[in-house]
Parts: sequence; structure tokens; C-alpha cells
Amino acid sequence: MGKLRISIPVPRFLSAGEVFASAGSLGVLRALNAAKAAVLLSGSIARNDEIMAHIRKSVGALAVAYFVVPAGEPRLENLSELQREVNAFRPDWLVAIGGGSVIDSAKLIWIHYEHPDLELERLVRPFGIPPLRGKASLVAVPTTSGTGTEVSSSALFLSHGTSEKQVAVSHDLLPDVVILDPKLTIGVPKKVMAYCGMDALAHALEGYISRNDNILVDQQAESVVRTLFSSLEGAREQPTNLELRLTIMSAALTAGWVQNLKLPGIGHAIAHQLADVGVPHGLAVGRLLVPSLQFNLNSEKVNRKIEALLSRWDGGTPASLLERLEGLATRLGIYDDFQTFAPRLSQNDICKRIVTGAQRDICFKANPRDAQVSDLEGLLAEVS
Amino acid sequence: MGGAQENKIDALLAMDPYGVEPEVKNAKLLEAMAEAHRWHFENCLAYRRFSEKRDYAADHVFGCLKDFPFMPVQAFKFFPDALTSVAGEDIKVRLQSSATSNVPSTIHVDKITAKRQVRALAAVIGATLGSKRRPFVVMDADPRQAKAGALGARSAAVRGFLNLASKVEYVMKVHKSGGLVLDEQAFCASLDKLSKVEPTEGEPMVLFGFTYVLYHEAALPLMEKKCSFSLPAGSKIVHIGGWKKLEDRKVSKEKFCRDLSSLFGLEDSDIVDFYGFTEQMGITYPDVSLGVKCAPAFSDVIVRDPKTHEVVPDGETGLLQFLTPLPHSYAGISILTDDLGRILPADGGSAWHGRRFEVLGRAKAAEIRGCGDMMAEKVVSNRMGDPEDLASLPQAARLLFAHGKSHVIEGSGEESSILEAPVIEDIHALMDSLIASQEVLRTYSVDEIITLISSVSDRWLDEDSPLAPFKYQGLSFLKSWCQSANLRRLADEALRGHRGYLDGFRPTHGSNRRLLRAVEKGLVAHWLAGNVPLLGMLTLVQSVLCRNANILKTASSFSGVLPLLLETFVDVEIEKNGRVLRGNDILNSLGVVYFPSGDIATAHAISGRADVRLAWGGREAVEAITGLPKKYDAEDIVFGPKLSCMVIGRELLGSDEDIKRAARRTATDVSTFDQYACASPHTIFVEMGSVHGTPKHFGEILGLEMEKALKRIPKGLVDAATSANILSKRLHYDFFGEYWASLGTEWTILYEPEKIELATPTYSRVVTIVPVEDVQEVIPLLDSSIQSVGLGLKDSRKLEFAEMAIGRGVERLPDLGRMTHFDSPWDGMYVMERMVRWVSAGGPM
Repeated sequence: MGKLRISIPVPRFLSAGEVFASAGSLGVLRALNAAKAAVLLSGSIARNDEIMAHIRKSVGALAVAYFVVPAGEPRLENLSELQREVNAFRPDWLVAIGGGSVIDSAKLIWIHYEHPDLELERLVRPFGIPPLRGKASLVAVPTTSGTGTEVSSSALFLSHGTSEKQVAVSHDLLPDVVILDPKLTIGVPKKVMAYCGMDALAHALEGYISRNDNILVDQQAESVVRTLFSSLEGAREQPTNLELRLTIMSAALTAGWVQNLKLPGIGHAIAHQLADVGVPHGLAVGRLLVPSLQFNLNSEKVNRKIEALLSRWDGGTPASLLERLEGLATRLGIYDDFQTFAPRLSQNDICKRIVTGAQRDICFKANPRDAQVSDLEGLLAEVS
Repeated sequence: MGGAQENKIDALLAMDPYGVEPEVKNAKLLEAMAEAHRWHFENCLAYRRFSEKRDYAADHVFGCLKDFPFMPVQAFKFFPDALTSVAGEDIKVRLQSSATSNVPSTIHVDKITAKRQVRALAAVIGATLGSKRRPFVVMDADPRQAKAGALGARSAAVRGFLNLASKVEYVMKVHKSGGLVLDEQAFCASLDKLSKVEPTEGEPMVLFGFTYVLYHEAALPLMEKKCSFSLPAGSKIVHIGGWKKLEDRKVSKEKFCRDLSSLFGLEDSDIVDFYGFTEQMGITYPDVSLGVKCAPAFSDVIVRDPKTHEVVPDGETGLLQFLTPLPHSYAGISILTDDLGRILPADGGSAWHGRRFEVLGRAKAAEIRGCGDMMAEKVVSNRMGDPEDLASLPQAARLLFAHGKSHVIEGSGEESSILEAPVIEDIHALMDSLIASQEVLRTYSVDEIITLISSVSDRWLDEDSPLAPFKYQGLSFLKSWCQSANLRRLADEALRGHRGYLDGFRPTHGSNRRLLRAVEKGLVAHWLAGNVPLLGMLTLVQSVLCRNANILKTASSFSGVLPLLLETFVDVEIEKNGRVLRGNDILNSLGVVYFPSGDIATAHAISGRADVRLAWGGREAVEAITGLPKKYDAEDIVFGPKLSCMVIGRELLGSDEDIKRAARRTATDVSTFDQYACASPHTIFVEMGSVHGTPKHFGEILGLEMEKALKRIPKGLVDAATSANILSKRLHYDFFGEYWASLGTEWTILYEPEKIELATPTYSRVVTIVPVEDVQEVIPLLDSSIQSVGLGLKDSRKLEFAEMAIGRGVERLPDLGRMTHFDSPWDGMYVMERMVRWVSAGGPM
């Protein structure tokens, strides 16, 4: 049965069809029982013989084809060759194994496999995508911990020469199966662990104070904040500590729920634009988290909400939370790494483009406090 | 009737019928008509109600003849008794038209009317043939055995002419089959006698007969025997009865005159056609020159638009209205006929005064329409006539479209188009080539086929598209139906939730131990009975998606729209994801053919080869098709004749806003496809009991919404016969009930509180509101001939009604305003599912 169609924003909980989480849970793929499975992989996974052997052993399909997804942010024109190959294979399952970009790419491939003539206008119209699953279903296997796309109803992409991020939104994009297997994260670089961790933290915190209320995930957001403060640094330092890695993966998935059901705010709105100047998404949201929260703390309601979070944690003040966030980001190298990009942001034309793009971003509307152009410029100035 | 009017009419009859100046005639005729109107108003209740509903009082002051209310000719078919204006004992004779398949018209004639008829006829015939009595040879059987009291109008017409005969000879006899045959011996003897025997020797004579009988039953046999005659100089051939049957046999007026003048040794100008009709018996209109008629002093003619009934400018074709004050015993003074014609320019130099006009033939008779000819008839642009020449051939299949090439002469509108299409030498070879073309289709994914069809359909309504004129006749709907998202949804629904079954094996029940695949059935034979090109596309598209080969057999009245639609695929190439999708790949797997019903061999060959036989049409048509020999495992998909209605509960009449909403949606359902869809409602059962709105109030509001719907959903062209049908429907309610209607024939809402029953469809936005105390009263009226019941009910009443309705055989219960959305399932089935074979691999579980 499809999801209920509601036209008013009532708090609801939506997730992928099934979620599996344990070390070695990749083996669940054996139960797919597909006729033809198209496995879409990141280049790094494809080059990892050990993981590939594991994958080859695991996929339960009569015919399996492996496809490497082009690196970088999904861009429609870069996916066309891959699209042709997948279409020709005619799979009944798509299995995406990789980071957020791989999973988003797989979602886009899936949409166009089912609807080859879908126009861009309809692709980006919120909930404008016709129903999926007439031909195939989707498994998402994240290999990083942070984007939350494995439980999101959207796919971010760039299209045809533009640098502006676009988004396809449909609850049909929630995968049928999600597998969290910490073994796949063993080789993930520390930087990536840090950036993704900060992305998850921003999903949780920005989503927690979002204009969109949703009591169903607020407590989970609080839990994510606590978990990431307690475990992120350890997980980054101990790649083989599968228990810690799984904790972070689980927290990132939970933060994905918060992001999907409440939407983050201006930190994400600006960060989406920074991709254009080459700033990795996790780095951008990590650097913008404190200034954007500080901006929002000027709202009484946000203050009360943060106080509630802290009261169920260790009783600190909003100001102390800002300090702790700054400390974590600093220790994870976020502030230092961001300095590489900072000078470019102060350029007038770039700044203007970022501010304009941020105002159009879907997250901008979810921010709890109304932000003016000068506010956005102020935030940018603070980080540049 | 007062003596004043008698004098006025007598004065008119006393005039030279063709010698009066127009101004004088107009004034005299207008006065006489006004008096005749008053007479019938005061003496005929039905005429009075008819007039009052149009705001005419007895003493209405008429400014011109165009102002008179006009009675549709059908009134005399259905309500002759109601239209009588004199007491029963004054009626001397009932005249009845000679209708064979239709309901005959009847008029009640009293002494006064009969006398006027004779005078009028004598005046016109005298002016045409001369006042001297002449011998008549009548190409008919002797009518003297006809029963008195109910005299056939044909016989009456003949008798009227024979009043001017000095001598009469009948030269036809009644064959045992009931038809007339020439008694050649009697004919030759008559000619001989009349030309040699005193006192008629050498005198000009009149050969008199009905147009068709005269030519087909008398002249043709004589011509075939190479006979020729030389009638005395000044003789005339006079014929009455109309051209319809001869036109069907492709005999033009020119050929008629040429053949007859040559056969009887006369000039073309000696052959005179008299036009007239039963309802104004006594008034006749001879040719004043070939094909040109002229109204005498005591009648006039007006031409009206079939759709709006507005008077059209001179020269334009429309329905002929005739006015004459002669009828005294029945209210037939102003009659709108279903004959088409046009006003011709005045000829100042002619000795014949009076409005000149031309009769262009009878409006095509309305046919009984089933589901099979919904929408379709509205998009007919160049019908092909019934190719009778083919009907007699044992094997005469014609190729109308194949291999991406149309063989129909586009836009010719010629009836011979089918005959000019190439003969199919070997129907099996054609089917072989279609089946072979499936190989290419198999290389396409279902979504690639959908993409191709959807892309082509996007252009159907472009301004420069030859299809654009059909926008409001169903094409707009077809285009949106062909949009890829819709086709994918249909395919998913029909194929167990996944159209992907068409592209490869898929696991079932979550296990790949058992896989399932949907494969094309093979060859689908479509019988598009009764002009169903657009409907044919709906099933053709679904069959193509399943990658079947398709052979489409069209009806004899084939429309050019289907080839036009198919031609939009010719040479189309669309690049999608590195693959070029070609329209020709689809076209190569389908062919459109025609063969007459007599071509048993072709019918058997196609039916015997088909893996799916798909038939649209009326009961007879679909039964004939399903009765053909077939493969034992062939699938039959039948879209037979169906009707639909609507039920509106009192809960939808709770407030002004509710009533308006329900009326707006009802208007949409009634207006879409002008009611030619099998899902269009013809009867609306409205429940009583709402404090706020009665069924009658709903009817009033519906009238407003029907008017608005005309702008939202413009109406297609209305043929003259449909227009006549609408008028005759209105007439009943004019005389005996209530209705709401547009000024023209655009829409009509009849109110029927007397009988709880389904109304007979009239189509063209004519709907009947039937009040019911409880919607349950509708249930017994429903059966398996009802396709859709639009449900204007809420909550549990909706479910309860639906449960009872399906128990009676109803197949769809859509919401108001959505009745005509072609959906899946349709007629109780998912069409695509019936066009595939389900194949399993592995298992069983």
C-alpha cells in the first residue's frame, strides 16, 4: 500500500522499508532473491577487492551486473552513460553501495530507469515524480556515516552546467532496504569520518530546532547529539572498532530521519551553495553549525528548545553548547580545513551568489528564525 | 375559424402561385400566418403550450415570417393526435407517410384542409405542366385497394396529381416480395394506347412516378433491354419522393435526367422533380430549372442552423423550415424539416416569382448507437460510404494502412476511398509480415515504447497538426491518456503491480526460485465496428505496449482519423539514453484493413490466426465476430453496447454550494464527448427529501452549469438528424412536461417525474432528471448492460449502493465529474492483462 497523501504538514514518521544494522549485515543481500540486480558502487568500493569479494558473495540474484558510479556530486549529464547501461540490463533490483553521492546517483538512475522521459521540471517539482517500483526496487548500503540519504525522500543533484544544487523529492525515493554494515567503513579516511559526523550532528541539531515540529523524532535528535559527542572522535580514531562505527552509523541514520522529517535550516541552506566553490558538504555544515545556531538562539523558542535538550543531557546552557560544538569541530579539524576555502567566500560575486542560492534552498524555509540577506551575509562573513 | 382568415387564405390560393410580387406576397402570407397561429393556439392545447413556452400569445404580433415558432417535423411522428385542432368527428382522413423503418408521420385532415390541399396542388401543377388535363402513365401499382380512413400519403400525393389527369394508366405491379416491378407489357400497351387512341392521339402525356421506382424499377430494366421510346412532343416526366435512395446508388440528378430523356425521347427540361412532404401535404415545389425550387404565394421557406436554429445567411446550408397557413385541422403551419437545403439568389429575369431554394437531401438518419460508436462519430472527418460494390465480392479486403503508409486518400471525403485502396492479395502474408515485425518491438523496453507514444502524442494538438480540429472531440482526452505517467500507471495496475514483467523475469513471493514474465500474446485482431477510431487507439496502444502485432478491421463507415493518428508516428525518431526510438518500428507491426461482411474468407483468416480477438460495437456486431472460427485458446475481449447513468443522493443537495458543486460535476460528465461515451450519463436519478434542494431545483441549477460547460468543453458539430432527435425529445416535454434547454440544441435537461426508468439515449447533451424518493429505487433498473453509475452519495450509503449495484452487473461506480475518464479496469477487465501470456520459470514453490 502506498503512503497516505496528506496536504497539510502533520508530524509523521517515514523510513525505508526495512533497515538492517550489524557487522556483516551486508549478507542480507542474499535474501534479495532478485532476477537481475544492478549493483551501483563508488570507485573506492570497486577497487577494494576484499569488500568486492564480500559483495559478490552476498548478492542474491540470478544475474548481477556491477556499475561504477562517477565520482563527485551527482550531475545528470555525467550519469547518462551509466543510465544507458543500467537500462539495457533491465534489473528488477538496484543496489547502491557507497556514500551519499552514490546513493543519490542510484536514486536518479532509478527514477530515469522507470521514467526515461521524465522532464527536469517534473523531476524537481516537489512530489512530482510519478510512482516508482513498476520495474525495480532499491537497496541502499551506506559506506559513510552522515548524509542520511539512505532514509531520505530526496536526491540532491546538479544539472546541465548549473552549479546550483537541485533536489528531487518523493517518498517513493525511500529505499526498500537499508543495510548498515560497519565493516564497509573500515577504510573510510578520518577526514571523511569527521565531515560526515558533523553533517549528522547538523542534521540532528538544525532539524531539532526546525520550524517544522515533529515530536516523533525530537527525542531521537537529542539522542543523536549525545551519541555523536560521546562517540564520534573515538570512532574516527578506531577504524576497526566495529561497535563504535556501528553506533555512529546508527546515529547518522537516525539524524537522517530528523533531516527528512523536519528539515535542517540556514546552515544547510548555505552549505548547499558552497559545493560550488568546492567545499565538501560535511565540512561546510560543520563550520556553519555554530554561527547558524547562534543566530537562531536569538529566538526565545529556539532557546527554550535547546535548554530542554540540555536538561535531558547534562544541564549545560545554550552558550555552553556552542562552546562544546566549537571544541568538537576544532578537534575534528573542521575550522582549520575550512580556512582553505574561506578567502574565496569573501569575494563579492561569490558571496552574492551564495546568498541568492541559499534563499531559494528548501532548508532556508525550515529555519526557525526568519533570516534576511544581511543575516546570511553576516554568517558568511563570520566564516570567511 | 373566422371567415376573415378563410378569406385571407382563399385569397392567397386564388393568386397566381408564382406571379405575385414579393412585397405583396410577404404581407398577405404574414397576415394569413398570424391568423392561422391564433386558430391553432386557441384550438390545439399542445400548440398552445408549445407557443407559450416560447413566449408567444394568441395575438402575438409577428414582424416577419422568421418570428413564427417552428414545430420539428418529428412532432407528427410521435404526437399527431395532440396536434389536432378540430373535433374528432370533423376528421375525414388520416394521412400517413410511407416509412419503412422509421415511425411514420401522421396528419389529421378535415374537409377544409383537404379542399385547400387540392387547390394548392392544382395551382402549382397547373403552373408547371399547364392547366389542360393530360393523360397520365403512372409508374406505380393501382392504389384503389387502399383502405379508406388511413390513407398512405404516397397514395394521397399520387391522387392529388391525378386530379389533373384526363386518363390514368398504372403500369407497375406488386411483386410477391412486396416490391414493385414494371409490367412491361402493360407499360408498352399504355404508351401505345395513349399515343394512338382518340381523343389522346398525339397529345402530350405525363409519365408520373416516384423518383427511385421510376428510375430503378422501370427505366433501368428498360435501358438494360436497350429499349427506347419517343413520347409525343410536350410530354413531361414528373417524379416525386426524393433522391436519398438514388444518391445511395450514386445516381446524380444529371444522370437521372440524361438517362430518362434519352430513354423516352424528351429534353432534360421535360423532366420535373416535385419536392414535398406529408406534414404539409398539398404544397409541392417543382423544379423551375434543374434542381432549383421556388416557393409559391401560399408558402415560404427559411433555412436554419442545425445546431443553434438561428436563421443562416442566404446561400448557407441548413435545415429547411416551411411556413404555410393551409393546415386547418392540425398545427402544421410552421415546420422545421430534417431536410437540408439552402436559399438561392433571386432571379430577377425569371417568370417564377417566389423565394428560390435548393434541397440538398435528407439529414442522415440517426443510428442506434452503442458503446461502440461513442466519441467516434464525433471525429469523423472523411467517412467512407458503404462500399456496396465490395459487399458482393467473396474476397475483397482492402489495405488502408500498413508499413507506415496510409492508403486512404486523405481528406478526399470521397465515398470511393475504400474502393481505391489497394486490394490485399494475401491476407496471410500481411499477417506474417506484422508478426515478423514484432522482433524489433521486442528490443524495446516497455518504457521506451511508452516514451515514444507519449512523445508523439504531445504533438497531436499542435496548431499545425491536421488533428488539431479534433481537440474537443476526444483527442484532448486521448492525448492526456497517452501521457507516459498515465500509461505506466495503467500498465503497472494491469500487470500485477509491475510493468517490469514485460521486460524480463521477476521473482514472485519474494523468491527467485520462481520467476514470472509477461509475454505478448502474438497477433491481436481489432474489429472497430461503428466508427471507433479513438477508442480503437486506446486498445491499440495497450496492445502495442505488450508488443503484440496488430491487425485492425475498420467499419465500412471508416474514419480518416485513425490513419491520421498513425501517420503522426511515421519517420519519428526520438533519442533517449543513447537509443533511437523509431515510430516506424511500431507502425511496422500494425495494419489497418477493411473487408465487407460478405468476405467470409478474410474474416475467417484473421479470426483463425488471431491470438486475441478484440471487438467494439453493438450486440449484433460483437456476436458476429465472436461467432467466427478461432484458435481454441484465443482470448476474446469484447466491448459491447453499454449505457450509464448517475445517482445523486439527498446528502449532495444540502446547501447551495453543494448543489452547485454536484451540478457542475454532472455538467462535466454530460458534456464530455457530448455524451457519446458509454460512460456518459443519460439519466440522473435525484433523491428527494433534502430541505434545501428538490430534484427540480437541481435541474434548474444544472441548466446554468450546462451553459457554463459549453465554454469549458465546447460542443462538437451537431448533425441534422441529431438535432432533429433533440427537438423531438423536447417536444414531448413541450406538450406534456417540463424541461430546461439552451436556445439552440446545445443542451437539454428533461424532467421526468412520472416514470422511474432509464431514459433512451438521445446523446448530444440531452439528459433526463428522474426524481426518486430513495436511491434504492434505482437498483432494480440496473443490469449488466449498465457500464457506469456515477455515484453522488456519501459515506456508508455510497458503499451500500455500490455493493447492490455490482450485484446487478454494473462495472464502474466513478465519482461525479469523472465518469468519462477512461480507466483500468474497463468493462470489468484489465485489458493489458488479457493481451499477455504469463510465463513462469523455476519452481513451483
